[in-house]
Amino acid sequence: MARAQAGDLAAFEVLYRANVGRVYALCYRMAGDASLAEELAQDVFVRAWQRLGSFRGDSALSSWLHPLTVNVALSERRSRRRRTSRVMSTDDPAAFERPETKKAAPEAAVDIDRALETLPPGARAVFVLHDVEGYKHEEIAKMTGVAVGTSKAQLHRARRLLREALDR
Amino acid sequence: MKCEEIRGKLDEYVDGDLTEAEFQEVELHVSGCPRCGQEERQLRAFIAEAAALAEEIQPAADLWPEVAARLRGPEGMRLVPPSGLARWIGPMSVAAAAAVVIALSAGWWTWRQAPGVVPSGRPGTVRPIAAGSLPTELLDSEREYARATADLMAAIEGQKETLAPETRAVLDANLKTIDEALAQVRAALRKDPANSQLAHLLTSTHQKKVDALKRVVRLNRT
Repeated sequence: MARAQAGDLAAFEVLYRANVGRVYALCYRMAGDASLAEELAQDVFVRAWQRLGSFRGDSALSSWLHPLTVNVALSERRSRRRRTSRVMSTDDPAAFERPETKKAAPEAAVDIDRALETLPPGARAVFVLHDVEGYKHEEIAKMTGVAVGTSKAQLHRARRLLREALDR
Repeated sequence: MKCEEIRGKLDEYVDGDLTEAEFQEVELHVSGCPRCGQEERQLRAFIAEAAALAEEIQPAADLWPEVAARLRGPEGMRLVPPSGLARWIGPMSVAAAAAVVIALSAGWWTWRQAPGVVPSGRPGTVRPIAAGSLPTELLDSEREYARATADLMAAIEGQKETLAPETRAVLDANLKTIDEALAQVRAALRKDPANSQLAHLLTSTHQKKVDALKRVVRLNRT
């Protein structure tokens, strides 16, 4: 860590490799798109490098990276919504590509990840933050700029859509 | 409450968001109604699955080469407790860091001096956007980025004396590179306006500029 903080890229690569799985998983679920998730994960590590001097080591690096990852994913969603609508075509083969899982995930879990891709962005973000990452509605409302009631409504909508998609 | 009403409250029930009276009512119902009871169990099981999703997923491609390349460029500027531009350290020199500022500054002036046109590869020269040659939403996007850039540059311009004069030559070269890259993307988009990857490349390049400007503004204020 000290070497990475001093500007050693090789040392930072070690930190990257130890954490890219968690960062990418969160980006992938928040974005609902593997290609965009790769861009977001890159952005996270670039920003982490820029801010590494503020990491004091009183928590795990993965814990330090987590809110940074959430912020990058939410910022990207906001800016994209404002500027250019990203058109996802159902005949786009990339939309159906599955990223390789590092850990052997139960089939059900794989299905949830895939079904997440079909959710509206707002509902997907709230579902991932609440049900997967464990944030409270008050925290989500603060991060996303929506009312607590809206966050709850989005969560319920996301659960309903996912369960319908998965037939559960 | 009828079954339909109960099911409409199951999410709040399992999340503990109901009032005590509502909670008791739903609990009493699901304990005696097989269908609602099953619905509640399935909802809880689904939520448990979501909470147990794998913590790690590896991207299909190794992202490190691109991350490392970015860190060797302007984005590799380090922010160690901010106290001004000179505190930016790392693979990129302070002069190169300032290059971004000047490059973006020049780009801003071309926008300011000739609204509706875009910078070409040479600072200070412009090339009009052919009306209708880019999708409307991209033109809107470019204008919005121009406004955002202008706002940020207005803040930076007041502090331009913090940049050493000798860095300007380096920065002009960077400006040319940045503007050429944007011009190339625009040219490609004119030939293939429906190409979503090019559209994304254009907006992401703009976004990187804006992000860099924001960092400069923030640093210069500290």
